[in-house]
Amino acid sequence: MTENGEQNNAPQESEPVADRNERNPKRIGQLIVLVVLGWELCKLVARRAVAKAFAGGAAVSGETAAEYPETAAERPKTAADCPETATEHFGSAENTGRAADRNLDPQRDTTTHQQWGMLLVVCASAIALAGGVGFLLIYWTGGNNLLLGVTLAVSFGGLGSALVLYSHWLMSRKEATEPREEMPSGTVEREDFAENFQESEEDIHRRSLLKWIAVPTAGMIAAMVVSLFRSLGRPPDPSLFSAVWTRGQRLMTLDGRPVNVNALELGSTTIVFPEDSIGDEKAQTVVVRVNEQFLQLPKERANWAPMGYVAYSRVCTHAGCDVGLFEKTTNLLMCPCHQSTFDVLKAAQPTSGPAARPLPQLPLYADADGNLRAGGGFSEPPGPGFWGMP
Amino acid sequence: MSGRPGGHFAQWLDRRLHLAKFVKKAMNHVFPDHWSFMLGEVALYSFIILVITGTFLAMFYNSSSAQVTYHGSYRALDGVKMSAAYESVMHLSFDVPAGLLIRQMHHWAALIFIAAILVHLARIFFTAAYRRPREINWLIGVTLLLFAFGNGFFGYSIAGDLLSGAGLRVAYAILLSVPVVGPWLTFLFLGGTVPASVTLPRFYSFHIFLVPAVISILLAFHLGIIWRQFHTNYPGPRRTDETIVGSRLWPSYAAKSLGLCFFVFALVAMLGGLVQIDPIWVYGPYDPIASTPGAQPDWYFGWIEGAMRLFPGINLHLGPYLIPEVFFPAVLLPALVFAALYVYPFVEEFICFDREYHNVLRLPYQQPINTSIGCGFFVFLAVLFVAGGDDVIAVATGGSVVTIRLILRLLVFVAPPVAAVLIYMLCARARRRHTASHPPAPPEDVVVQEETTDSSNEEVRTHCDWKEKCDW
Repeated sequence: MTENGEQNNAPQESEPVADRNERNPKRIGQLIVLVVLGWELCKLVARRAVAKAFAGGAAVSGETAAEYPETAAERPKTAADCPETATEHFGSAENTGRAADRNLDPQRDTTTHQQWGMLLVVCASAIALAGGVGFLLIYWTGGNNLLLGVTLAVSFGGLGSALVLYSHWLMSRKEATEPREEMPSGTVEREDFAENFQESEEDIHRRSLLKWIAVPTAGMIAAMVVSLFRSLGRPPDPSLFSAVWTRGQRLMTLDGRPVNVNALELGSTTIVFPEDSIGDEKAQTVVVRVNEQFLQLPKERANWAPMGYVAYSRVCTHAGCDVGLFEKTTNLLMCPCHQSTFDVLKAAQPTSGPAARPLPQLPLYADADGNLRAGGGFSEPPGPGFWGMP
Repeated sequence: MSGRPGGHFAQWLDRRLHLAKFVKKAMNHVFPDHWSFMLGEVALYSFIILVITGTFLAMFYNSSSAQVTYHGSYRALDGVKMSAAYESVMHLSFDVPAGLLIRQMHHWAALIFIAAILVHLARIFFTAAYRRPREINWLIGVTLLLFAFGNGFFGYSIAGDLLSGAGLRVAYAILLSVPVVGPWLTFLFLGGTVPASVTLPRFYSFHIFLVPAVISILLAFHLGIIWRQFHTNYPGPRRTDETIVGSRLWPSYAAKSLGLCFFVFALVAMLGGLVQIDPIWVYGPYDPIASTPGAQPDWYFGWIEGAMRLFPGINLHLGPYLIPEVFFPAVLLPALVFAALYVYPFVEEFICFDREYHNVLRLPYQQPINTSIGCGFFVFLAVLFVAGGDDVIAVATGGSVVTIRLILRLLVFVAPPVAAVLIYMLCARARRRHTASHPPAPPEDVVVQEETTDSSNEEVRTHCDWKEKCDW
């Protein structure tokens, strides 16, 4: 066929212009037709060869069944199946080769199938390679993280695809059946073990001595290990129960300025610390100025709020977050972590949310200069609850 | 080795290790073909990614909480005071080539690790794969989940940003709330207050050494046991309690599994490159007086967060002692959940008097009670998870947090039983339909089976007859 083509072509054109033929569109078209025809011929020949090699109708399934003959022979009981299923091992459509799986004729299409498989695997590998090269290029030219991630993903994705395609198209997908091991050891094995154990038991003279050594030693080692934990820290100390506020400490903002009684408008807040420990996390306190006549503090706290200035611990009594939000209209302090709310007017009693205990209050008084000072420590231990909390 | 059995290296090895028999057996090991058996592998491969990326990160991380002033390439935080830990994470994110990619891959891999474990656990549960003889692996798996949670938290906490600091304070409150030993634990392990300078080095040590070591050892046992026992099989032809059906390790299963490994890598790399996660430069360094509205933990702690938000403010006073409100949702609830997970196989075994070996799975509809318990439990966790974002929902819907909380408090009790009953009815219906369309084999068939082999009758009963001894 190819020879015929050449013969047809030769008389039409003379030898010297053969070089220019490639630029002639008509010649290129003929060339393409030739290549396609040649390719088809090759496929035809290959198919014939395969058909000869696998002579017989169920070539593929026959081959797969021969692969693991011992399975069928060794395990007669595996043949006993559900009534509705085929008892033949490798014969049914579900577990023969890929060709049967894809409704192809196993005899004719195996080679095509494998060619497709190879093509796909090569393509996937090429993508993986391209991704890898891209990664290297990007890394060595600045290393944009986004592109690095994408190229890495392309590379690994290509590799993964190549492997999966390989196993799907080019590997046998026959199903293997194996016996499981019997779970409890057999009687013989167990008796053998018991006998052996008995023998070695006789080799341990003075078994009780071993116990006398083992028990105290184990206890001693445990004690040593547990003792080492002591190095990690100290036992709970009184700092658990209080913050560093003491009577007379001026209220200072984080940038170190005292809070004057004229500093705040009604309904505004500020965060303060004791003047000796500015920034102390546990001592952080929120000062709110509210209208004095609406305050409903308990009687013993009547003079804790000069000119409507009330101060509460800013560490939530629920889980220790900062009670960072204040709603002016409802006079509620709110913790953004779990949405507990505390009523500023009613000694910071919890009004909703998961908190159970009020925010500890800090007694205040104004000194001669009009600066606010602490009248003592918090009314209760600040922060989240614990076992020994009063 | 398999390609060239006579290869020089193979022979060299065999002369020293006597491998031929062992490797032959290993190559022929049978693994069932079903996508749901890949879930555990996804977890395994994300753990490998975690170890690789984590090793890279550990070369740059500094766990010191000493205060430094930032002068790196992220200009927006120039001159800001921060902990050395936070600065080292900023440095590796912005000044180390590919550092940000590796860090984001690490975080994504951690999320996928835990997600894969949970889905794997769900698959085991809903197909009853935890039954004898696989109870040990169930126990190990639940323990692995516990350690994965722990390490996720440690990793989240050591970045030193605002959110991890806030998370640490909540964790401190939770640990402190434990009756009797709580204050001791916080003083010994967290240095008394949070964030104490001792916390980060300790968490770092747990995060990169102790917990990964435990996870590796447990994983080795987990895999060793599943190798010894083989996987289970879904019900189907030739799948019996005495056989394992699937593809051989070499070459088919190895190629597929390695391919999956690369896919997990590709997914993590894609997410790490394209999807921003934990942008600590947006949160800023930890600042003890900055409040954090809208702060959420990583997703797998969402249910505990939600429980903490829903649980009412109840203090339990025992004489002079106090059990604070945080204890119940944040310590007791997770403890009960994990206790329930641990004992479930044994409870089922006890209730059903089930002493058989089960290597064929039950499909969800074949075990309505089991499935409905699992679904009810899942809905319970889902409601809690939603509650973990009640403020976000309130902002998004314009409703009030109080109303949403009330609804969720009702739902957390109502929804699980409703879901369970619904699922039970669906399963029972599916089972009836299946029985109707697949009538049990006529008795004479069984007789024929009995005549052929002794064990066949047994098999017919175990995986063809839906009415097992206990359809729990």
